[in-house]
Amino acid sequence: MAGERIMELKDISISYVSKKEKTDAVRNVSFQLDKGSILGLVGESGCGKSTLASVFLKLIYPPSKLMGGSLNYYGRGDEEDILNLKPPDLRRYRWKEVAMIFQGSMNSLNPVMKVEDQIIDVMIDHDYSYTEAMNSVDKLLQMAGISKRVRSLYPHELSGGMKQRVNIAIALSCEPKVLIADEPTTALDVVVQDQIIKKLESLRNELGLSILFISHDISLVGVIADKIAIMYAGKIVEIGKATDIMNNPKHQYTIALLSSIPSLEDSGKKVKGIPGKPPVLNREIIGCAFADRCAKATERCRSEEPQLEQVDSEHLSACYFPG
Amino acid sequence: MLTLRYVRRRVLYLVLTLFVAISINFFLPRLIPGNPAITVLLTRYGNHITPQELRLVESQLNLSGTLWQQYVGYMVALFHGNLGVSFYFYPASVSSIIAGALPWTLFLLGSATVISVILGVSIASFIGWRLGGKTDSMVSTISISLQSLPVFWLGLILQIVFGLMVVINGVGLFPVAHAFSTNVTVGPNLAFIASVLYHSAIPILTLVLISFPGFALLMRNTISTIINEDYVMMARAKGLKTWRLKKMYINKNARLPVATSVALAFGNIVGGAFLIEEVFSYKGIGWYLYTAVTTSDFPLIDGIFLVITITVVIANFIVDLLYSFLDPRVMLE
Repeated sequence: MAGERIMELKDISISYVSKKEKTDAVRNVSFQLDKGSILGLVGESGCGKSTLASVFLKLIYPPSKLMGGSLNYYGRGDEEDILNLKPPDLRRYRWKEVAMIFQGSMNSLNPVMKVEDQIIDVMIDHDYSYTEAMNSVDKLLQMAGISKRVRSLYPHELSGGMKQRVNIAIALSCEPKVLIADEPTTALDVVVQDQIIKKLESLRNELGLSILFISHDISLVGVIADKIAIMYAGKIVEIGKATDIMNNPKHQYTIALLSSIPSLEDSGKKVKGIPGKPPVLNREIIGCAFADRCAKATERCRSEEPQLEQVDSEHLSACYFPG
Repeated sequence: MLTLRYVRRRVLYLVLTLFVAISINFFLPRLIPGNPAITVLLTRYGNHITPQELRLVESQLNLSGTLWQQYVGYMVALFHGNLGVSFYFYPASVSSIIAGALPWTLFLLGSATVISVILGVSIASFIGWRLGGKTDSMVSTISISLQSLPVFWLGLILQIVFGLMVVINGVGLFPVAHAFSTNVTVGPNLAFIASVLYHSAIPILTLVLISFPGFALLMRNTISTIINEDYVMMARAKGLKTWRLKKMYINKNARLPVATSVALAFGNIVGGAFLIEEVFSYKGIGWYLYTAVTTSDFPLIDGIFLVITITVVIANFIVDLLYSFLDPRVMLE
């Protein structure tokens, strides 16, 4: 089943540019986000996940630079080219169409403003009336699973989990169609982590949100996502339905990632780490970026870069050794 | 938030500071060689002094006995609210001199500080949005240059410019000496107020030019770091209107260090105001202090330093209160 797309990335490349060097954090990434579904984006730290996330709201500020590609949005009927929106239109698109939960969400709240004011201000700037905004604060906080009592508190009076819920409430305030969740649970303990995941899942079910869920934890993504994209060294190396990726991975990197998860059922299973570290991205990579860490790598892997190819229905992998 | 515990601690702190300051202020000037009693007698009665006269005056001026005895005598008098009698302006009491001079200094200092902060913050919010641009480097360069000028030198230059070079009908554009003209009656009348404002323009301008760059640069630098904070990125993502992003997310956070620096800079501004009063013959505390120091007028020096200490401590207290109002994270406990 090919879902109806709501966003489509084509050949997105983002680099960090300084006077001395250029680091290609995201290299020719293309995929689509389906309406009402959760796409999990998985990769190690530094693989370009967060940089890629910034493109959805066009939050690309120096030193990062968009090197090419396009981002199409279908949430308002017609196809819209987001990266070429004029500033006032971009402002109206942000948060109203696509909202985001940030990685550093501990520090994402303005320390000198009350919680309710940080919900109300964005609603007013997106054409809700003041009374409307004022009245929806309680409902939004409740939806995010937090007591409405926090509305008159300042961020420093909240715990990490509470801040994350406030961030969710703010993200939902303008009724967006797409939610980008960039490591939304990273700094939280597992109990709260589980609650937040369940919350996101129920929001998708109730509000029909399309969610891009970014995480370095493939086991976590396996629980929540409908589709999973695996990112390595700035590229998507494998993408497919969550069940396929989790049970029948094709790319050697995905296989290595999955075998690094400890299992509860199989206590005899050996947990394997991945030797070495990801390549630095400030010079051109020849061949497969994973080759140096891959047990199966051959001469061909080191000289010729494998391209994403269909290996199954809706399942693409960029590896010469499928399975 | 203000608690009783905080006020109590603050008052204790004030008393301690005052005690230390008073003691230092007492001993320091008395280390200067010379006998002020002789100076007083010489200036009043010519060069004919008998030892009896000298001893009489010495005991009247609390100059007899050891330094410790004088210190105890001074402290006892102080507890009775008696700051003593000025040597140089004898027989005027120190309290009456300070009472007459203090309002002038507070006026000069207060207006200069308020104008400097407002100007500095406004300039910073303007260039904070254009970091790295031409305006930014220009304003920053000018600010640093202004800040490096000696305040009395700038005062002299402005005197020359506005008093001698820009001349209308044979008179300088602005008066460059005294606090008001001699042809107005002192009191709450329009002519007097106008004359005071007119006379204070150039001294205040001098102080503002020296002090606003510090606030502007501090806030500009704070903005340059705040702009990379997560909450500013999130504010951009929220698609807020630009004025709201600037006002509520950037400036509201960037002005916090400025509040701290006002408290710290107040001491400097006090020092600057004193030099300026001397340059402009403006009879405030600074002018009297200058006179007192050059004439070894111990009681007047002590009294003025006491007032300075109290002013700075109170200013710090006010800034603390202001800070707790600006930053919800700060609790005054």
